[in-house]
Amino acid sequence: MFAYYFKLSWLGIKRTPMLTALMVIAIGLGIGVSMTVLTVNYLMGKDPIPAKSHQLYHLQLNAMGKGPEWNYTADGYPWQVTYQDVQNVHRSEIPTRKTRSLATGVTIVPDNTIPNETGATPFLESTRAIDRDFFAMFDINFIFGESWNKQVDIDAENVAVINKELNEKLFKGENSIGKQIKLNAILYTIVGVIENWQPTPRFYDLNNGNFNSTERLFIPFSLLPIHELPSWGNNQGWKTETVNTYQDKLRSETTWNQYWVEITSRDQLAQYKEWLAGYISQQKKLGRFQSKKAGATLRNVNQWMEYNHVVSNDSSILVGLSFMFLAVCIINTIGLLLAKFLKRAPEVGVRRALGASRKAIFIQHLVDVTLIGLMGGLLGLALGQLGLVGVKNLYSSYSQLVYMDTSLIIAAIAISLGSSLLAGLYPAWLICRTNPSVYLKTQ
Amino acid sequence: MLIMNNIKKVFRTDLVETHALRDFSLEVNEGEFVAVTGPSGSGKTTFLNVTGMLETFDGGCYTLDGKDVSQLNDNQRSKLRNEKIGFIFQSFNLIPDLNLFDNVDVPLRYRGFSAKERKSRIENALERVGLSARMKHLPSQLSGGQQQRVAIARALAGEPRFLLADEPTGNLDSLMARQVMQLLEEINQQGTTIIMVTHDAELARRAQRNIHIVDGQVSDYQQLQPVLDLAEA
Amino acid sequence: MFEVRPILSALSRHKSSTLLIVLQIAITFAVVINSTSIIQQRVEMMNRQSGIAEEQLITLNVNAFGKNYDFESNIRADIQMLRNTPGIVDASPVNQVPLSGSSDSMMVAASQEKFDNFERVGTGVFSGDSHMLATLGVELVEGRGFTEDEVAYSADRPEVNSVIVTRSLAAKVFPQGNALGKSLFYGSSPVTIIGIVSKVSGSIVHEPIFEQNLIFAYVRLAAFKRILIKADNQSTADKLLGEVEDLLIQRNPDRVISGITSIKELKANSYSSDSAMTTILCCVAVLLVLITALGLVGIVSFNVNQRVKQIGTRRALGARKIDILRYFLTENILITSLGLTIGIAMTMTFNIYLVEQFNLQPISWYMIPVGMLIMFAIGILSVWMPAQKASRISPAVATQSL
Ligand SMILES: Nc1ncnc2c1ncn2[C@@H]1O[C@H](COP(=O)(O)OP(=O)(O)OP(=O)(O)O)[C@@H](O)[C@H]1O
Ligand SMILES: [Mg+2]
Repeated sequence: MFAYYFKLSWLGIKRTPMLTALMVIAIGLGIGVSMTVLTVNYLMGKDPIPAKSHQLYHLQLNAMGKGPEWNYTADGYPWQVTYQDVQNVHRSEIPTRKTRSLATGVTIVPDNTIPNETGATPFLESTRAIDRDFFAMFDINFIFGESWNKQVDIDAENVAVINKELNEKLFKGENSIGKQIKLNAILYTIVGVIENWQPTPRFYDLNNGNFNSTERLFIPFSLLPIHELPSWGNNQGWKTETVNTYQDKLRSETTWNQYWVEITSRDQLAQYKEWLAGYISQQKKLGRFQSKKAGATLRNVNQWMEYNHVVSNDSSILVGLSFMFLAVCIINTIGLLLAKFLKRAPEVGVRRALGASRKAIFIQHLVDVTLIGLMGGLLGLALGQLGLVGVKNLYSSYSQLVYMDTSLIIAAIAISLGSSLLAGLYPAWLICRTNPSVYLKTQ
Repeated sequence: MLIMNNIKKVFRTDLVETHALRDFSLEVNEGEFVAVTGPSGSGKTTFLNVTGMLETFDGGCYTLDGKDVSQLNDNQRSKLRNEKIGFIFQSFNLIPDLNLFDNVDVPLRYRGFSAKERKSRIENALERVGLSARMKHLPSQLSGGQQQRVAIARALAGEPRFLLADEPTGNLDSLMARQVMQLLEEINQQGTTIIMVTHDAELARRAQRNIHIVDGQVSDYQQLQPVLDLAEA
Repeated sequence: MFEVRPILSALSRHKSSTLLIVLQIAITFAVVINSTSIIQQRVEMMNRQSGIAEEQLITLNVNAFGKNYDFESNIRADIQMLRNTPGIVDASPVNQVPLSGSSDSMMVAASQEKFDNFERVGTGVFSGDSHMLATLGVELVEGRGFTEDEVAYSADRPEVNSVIVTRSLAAKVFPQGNALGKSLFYGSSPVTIIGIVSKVSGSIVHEPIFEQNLIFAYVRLAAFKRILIKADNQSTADKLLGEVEDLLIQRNPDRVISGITSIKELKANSYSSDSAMTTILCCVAVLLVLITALGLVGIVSFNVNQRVKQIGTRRALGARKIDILRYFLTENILITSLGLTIGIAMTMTFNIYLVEQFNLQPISWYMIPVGMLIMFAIGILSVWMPAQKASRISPAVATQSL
């Protein structure tokens, strides 16, 4: 029977090619536009580390004094923390893992005293200063070697971890453990080489471009006061204080460091929050944390992304608009289907007179609609790919972000079939419900 | 006064040329009731279409009320049609989306009458065909005979000088057909010239004058009439 | 108007398909008006005057790594060399670059008391040497620029006495006017306003304090220095992008030159999300209008085909071609009017949502009537062809048995 319905739909399509083409284009454009926008939106807000996103917490402290509140964020907490706080909080042994973090940069200088050096001219390299746990916390795999040992986080040592790409560039991809590189004017020893690691969004530092490339070079955070590593990220202050030297900055209320902890259980989290509360009350006695909103907040990866509006307002607006677009396409299709089906009404009258049941007529028309939906969906997928290429060209920073995976393709087909069935339901119901005698009457 | 002289009408399609009317000549006087008969495909409808200026013709001369129709453009023809000619069709041709009142209103709208005038004309016309009670009904809610009476009301509302009817009873049973015929005769008695195409010899005989068309030409109806009568008998 | 009531009653016989078109027009209107409003606001923002010679400017970073690298003599020599280079009009060390996306800012007040009471005003902070204004190419409207001796070279943030502010900052801090000669307070010792410039773009284009900026005369001595260069004209600037690195490295090889970009490019990057949004919204609006128009064409063509006999009958009953054309146009205008009535309500609701949720500006009132006119025009255009076709239907079809 289905084969018969398909044949009928095919004949119908051939009889009304313009109308069918209009419907396929309407559904195709609707799917194409909304899939493009949805894909970008979905990939922007996608959990970058699903296995651990609920265990990794980003710390925010509001250490402000009396006076106006921090008004850049909704809850009045600065995004980053001060050096003194990061140092103090780092003493807590409660978290399973913990890391301080700073975006910095160095000049990698070629030096003929270093064997295997390939770079001919010095070049700048954005660098991340972190603690040893960083790699384990964010599930980063080592190709060679491993992270530096715990002692390095206390007694700084000139060691470095590089990624595969930088290892190719500097050491032609060989096992470079134990080799040295010159950063600024100082020799560092390579202790580990990691896989290229590019989480999107770059959740571990949302202050410096949500979709930027990750660093290729990692050095111990404990080197900060020794080499006076500059901040390559944002520095935000609220207090009027003189910050002339690097040592001033380390003692200041400027927020420029980040802090992540890994916590695996509820108890542990409660315990850690209690510890933080204790830390704050202790600091209050020292004259800090005087604001009404003073306190500590922990946000897990997804909460942190939402807090930072990783999914941009523009993207959310576009999702809304694209749904309205799809709605117009569906309404358009309903109108055209209504026309197409009503044209067929006399024929339906004859079929009913010849013994077709209502259900049979209904199914026949739904088959019709499904066929159109399928064609529209395929067109939509093609247009969606085109749309994504367009988006990639428009937003240079999204280049690693935009692609359609199988789940999105399945979603596209499902949405197109769903919307065309939705569009066809009313016309099909209308046509199967009408009294056949009306159409058998002359006129 | 309607005068046709050597009218030609040719339908050209890719394959064939059909001479639907050839050297067709006819005069119809004011107040006549003319019945047109003839075999299927002989050109009766074509004749009626040309008469009603629904279609142009390819040769000859046609004057309606002293006006040379071939000199008129589409707008002028529409106007003339609207003012002087009423149509009744075999398949009624009522507009299904409009109720009876609005259906009868259609030609009056194009005529540009005032709303008051239209209303009274519509009511009169529907009254005359005995359907004033069903003014708000849709065509689909009426029987075939009733629909045709609405079509007649629509044709009459503008008080045309000529009423053209193409098989007005073709879709009706004989009782209904006689009722419609009676209505047409009444209208004719009030002075409207009627040209009616019919296949029904009995109805044709009730007309003042019969024209028989064969192969796109008027044949000598005077002579053929008895033969037809014989055939009926 | 002509024949409105019968058209309405005919439409009411096809409620669902009429309603569908009405709804489609309404949503299309809401989407198109709101998109256009966003586009208009973005374009307006992107077209703001920057107040600087953006076409002629390029910037770069010098990162020194040598062991015995003297910061002061090197930066002075670099700037001197650049100024002497043919094609370069002027150059200055800078702490931040307009339109670059990374900023240095602080809070200032009109008096110490106001500062202490947190009646402060945010401002971007620029610093450079005495050629800073000339290099930026800003227009000095009151007072004077910096002299050579006023420029402090220091590793720390030095105490300075004078400051130049933008008109926008002056107006914000001193709403009564007469800012020239007054003092600005920012915690440490106050500074005197010696000059007012008409406009300098800040670094972050989406910040409300974008045009509130001040300029100090000092050069901070550090391994990392930004330099701003003004070329003769745009093509020289483009050429310099490829040459300037060699110039600086030749003078002293103990550094890495990075971030060589034109301000034009920085500006494009800063506004890239806005221009992308504008493009996407344009596409969405155009496609949507296209879909709606095509839908109208389809439905009306279909109706014409369905009503051939009816139209022929009307013609037989005396309708002129123009009457038939007018019938369809009137029908379309009625439907569009209804759609726009609902559409205006939807537009407003959607706009209020956008304003509340995403901090957009409300739509300008004139967009509604202009949009309506355009929608009417689009409606008439889409109906025109099928309606023409309808008017060409021969009245003879009335007598044909279809
Ligand atoms: N539009 C047309 N195109 C081509 N040929 C046509 C057209 N209309 C009519 N004809 C041809 O012209 C001839 C006359 O047709 P017409 O409709 O006038 O016949 P008729 O006398 O009304 O027949 P019937 O009694 O069956 O209605 C026929 O041969 C017909 O095939
Ligand atoms: Mg005929």
